[in-house]
Amino acid sequence: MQALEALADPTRRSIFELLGSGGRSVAEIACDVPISRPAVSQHLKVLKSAQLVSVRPIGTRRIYSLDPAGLAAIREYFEQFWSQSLAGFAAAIDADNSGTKEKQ
Amino acid sequence: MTASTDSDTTVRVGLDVATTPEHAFEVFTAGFDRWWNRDHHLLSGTLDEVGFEPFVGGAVWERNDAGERCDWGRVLVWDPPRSVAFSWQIGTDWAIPVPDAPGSRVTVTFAPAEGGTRVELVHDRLDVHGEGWESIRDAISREGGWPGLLARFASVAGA
Repeated sequence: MQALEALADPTRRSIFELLGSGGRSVAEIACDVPISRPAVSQHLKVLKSAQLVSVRPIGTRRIYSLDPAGLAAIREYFEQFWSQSLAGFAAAIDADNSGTKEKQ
Repeated sequence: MTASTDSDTTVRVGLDVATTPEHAFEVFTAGFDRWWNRDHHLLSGTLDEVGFEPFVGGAVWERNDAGERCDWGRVLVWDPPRSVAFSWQIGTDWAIPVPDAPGSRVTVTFAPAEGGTRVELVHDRLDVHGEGWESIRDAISREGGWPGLLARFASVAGA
């Protein structure tokens, strides 16, 4: 799955943003995101296959984090961010245009 | 809307809007608060307003419902209605930037096109959010209260 596609899901995006503040285990992620641990694991699997997050063992724990080795994740993040934000920008212009029509 | 990445450190997003460059520039800058995603903010609490100071060197800022203000960028180019550029000190974690945090750069151009205006947004120098971002993160107090915001982010519907 493409990174952009993986980030289109709001829950996966929230997990991705959460990992932006540091690595976490599945249990820790499940504390901050209102979904179950198995659901967190499923989302992590998708993020991992999209190469947005990586996992490393620390003792008996498996810590998920954004992969700092590459910029792909950051780039994908901002691409997603701006595509969504500019859709809002276009909607604001559309609103102005329809308002103008109503006045005419 | 089209989005493409043409290098490791640059994101480009383009779109056509059915209006004049003047109006598009006005909505993007003076109207920043109208279209900004309300769930993207750095301060704790609820986002009250985001804005641009309309001159080179001006702040790009947000204010929360408690009246606290946070500057997260500086206007680098102010050339209405052709272009505006600003620095971007926000990482993907939406933590409050440390003073003089390195910024990436957002440049937006507005060009007349058939039926309206072609808007091109280029967000480059993204590598500043890569290398060393963990040390920047660690320098930021965990007491800022922002992690709670991320949990709320999960409720954003389709945005």
